[in-house]
Amino acid sequence: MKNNPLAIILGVLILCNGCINDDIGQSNNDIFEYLWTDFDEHYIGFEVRNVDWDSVYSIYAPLVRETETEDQFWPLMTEMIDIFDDQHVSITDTDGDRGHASGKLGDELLAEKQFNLALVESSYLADNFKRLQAGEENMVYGFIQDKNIAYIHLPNFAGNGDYLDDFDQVIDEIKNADGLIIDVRNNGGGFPPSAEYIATRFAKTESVAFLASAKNGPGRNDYDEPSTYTMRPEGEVQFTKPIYALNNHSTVSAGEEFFLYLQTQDHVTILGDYTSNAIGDQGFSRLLPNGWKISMPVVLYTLPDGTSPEGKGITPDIEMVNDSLDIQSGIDKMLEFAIDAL
Amino acid sequence: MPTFKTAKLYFIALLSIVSVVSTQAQEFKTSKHTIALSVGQSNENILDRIFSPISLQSSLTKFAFAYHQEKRNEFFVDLNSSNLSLEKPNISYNNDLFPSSLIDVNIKVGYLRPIKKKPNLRIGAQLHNSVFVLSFDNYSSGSWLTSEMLEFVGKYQLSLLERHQLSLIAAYPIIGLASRPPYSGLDKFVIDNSDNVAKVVFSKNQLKSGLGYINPQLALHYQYLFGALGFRASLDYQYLHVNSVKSLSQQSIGIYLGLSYTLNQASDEK
Repeated sequence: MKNNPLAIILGVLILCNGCINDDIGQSNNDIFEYLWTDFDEHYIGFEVRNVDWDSVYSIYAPLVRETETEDQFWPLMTEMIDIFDDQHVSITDTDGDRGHASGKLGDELLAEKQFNLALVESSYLADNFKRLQAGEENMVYGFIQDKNIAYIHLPNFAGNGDYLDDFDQVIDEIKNADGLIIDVRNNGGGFPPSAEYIATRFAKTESVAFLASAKNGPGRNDYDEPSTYTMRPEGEVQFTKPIYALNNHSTVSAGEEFFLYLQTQDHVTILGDYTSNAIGDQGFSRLLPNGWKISMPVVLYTLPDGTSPEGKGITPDIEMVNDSLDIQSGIDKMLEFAIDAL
Repeated sequence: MPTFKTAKLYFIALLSIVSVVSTQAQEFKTSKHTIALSVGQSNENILDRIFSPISLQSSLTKFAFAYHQEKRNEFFVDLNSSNLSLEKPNISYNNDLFPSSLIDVNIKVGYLRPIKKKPNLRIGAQLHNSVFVLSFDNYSSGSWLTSEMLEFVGKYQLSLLERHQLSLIAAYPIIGLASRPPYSGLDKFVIDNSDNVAKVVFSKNQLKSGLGYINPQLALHYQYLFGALGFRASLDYQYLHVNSVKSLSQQSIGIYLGLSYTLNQASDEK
């Protein structure tokens, strides 16, 4: 037995059996502890959003202890994450039947109704406007009726699709316009490099747009050294005549990052509302022991002056919000304002 | 400085490979060459804290290929891989949570020299490359490990009867490079370069040794020879623990069955 290789192998296997244990409980209290700690160690927005996470614990821990079922526990947790008002924070339940995004509150839902692309196409654009597939939606571009003003609507910043390859051709087609309206209202975000790619086609000068640092440890101040992102002219041709860029409170994520680049340029005027304020990039979904999934941003963006747009959104140069009743009546006041200004 | 260390390590590894290959090339014609193909089941137990606090377990089908060139010394290439689903997380009351896919590929290129004829004992080194990619819901959550480790390897071979061979191989990493995701799984660099996997992986490479990369590997091979052909049965075990910002632990126990084919048997060293 002493020199038997089989005995050695079996001995090692027996010793290591059970080496890998997760020791994770599955009660509501266990899940709450894990969820609270996971946010505590990964979330980037406590300070910029003025969230006292320790107080949140002291409020919700006793409430969770009184719950017995998942149906009692779920509303408590969705209520708890609403404190972030951050669309990049979400919870999905085991079956995926219930999902809740923290920042998808009334003001975002209202903002969605304050823009209607079909109205823009039918009442404001010349008939020869074109569409380019952008992810699962279409980018629309063309000219305003009877004006030498170009118009581009960017529904998202998808990471795939021909619209990126063809975007220089779009700029070439509109380069002789006197001005341009870039409509980023209701933009649902997407792939940050796509936002940068398109933004650089509107750059006249080179300027630092923002800095980004990822969480790199459990401490509240554990961040990577920031990476600098710069707006600079790229592509075959850039549109550098006056631009009005339109946003609303439903412009989110990479849609907001797009404005971080645009706001460095003097020939661009931002018209609209404070954006949805969910800018930091989301990390991987976190998989909880009870089958729930949670998502949160893990990259903090700051402006060159050291402040963060996280929790505040992009500040417009001219603040203006459409009335949803006007949209229903066929009037887009923001668009009309931009046309008159150009 | 990590770049210099990385380059130095690659240079040493490259030099070792060139030296081994050039020596082996001279012995190629007079050596015994064995090719083996096997298929087996591997029981996996994985806890990747980047991916989830939950440990996952499953039984995977794995494929293995081996090439051994043997005269006095032995040169070998071993490869095994799987690309199947992990469907049974280690949760007692619900086996359907987080069905995830796993790619797990290991390539070992090594060189052994005899140190004792009876019993037949050889020791040497191997370069162990591994790729481990875990994905849930099309990478809405995921994790990875890639590593290039220089490992000590020892082989004990026993000829039981005329046609029966038994060998035990043990390996343990000495030093190498390993790439793991950042603290939160993603950072700005990973997101911006998600279309360039090689760039992301190499940017996260870190020098690992000692308790930073624990990976004992044991393999027991039985071979029954009938002429140039052979029937093989193998038992593989490995425990892997990588200390990074969040650790990865993996335990695999696999049983394989396969066939081998040997060339130049006559030149086998007596």
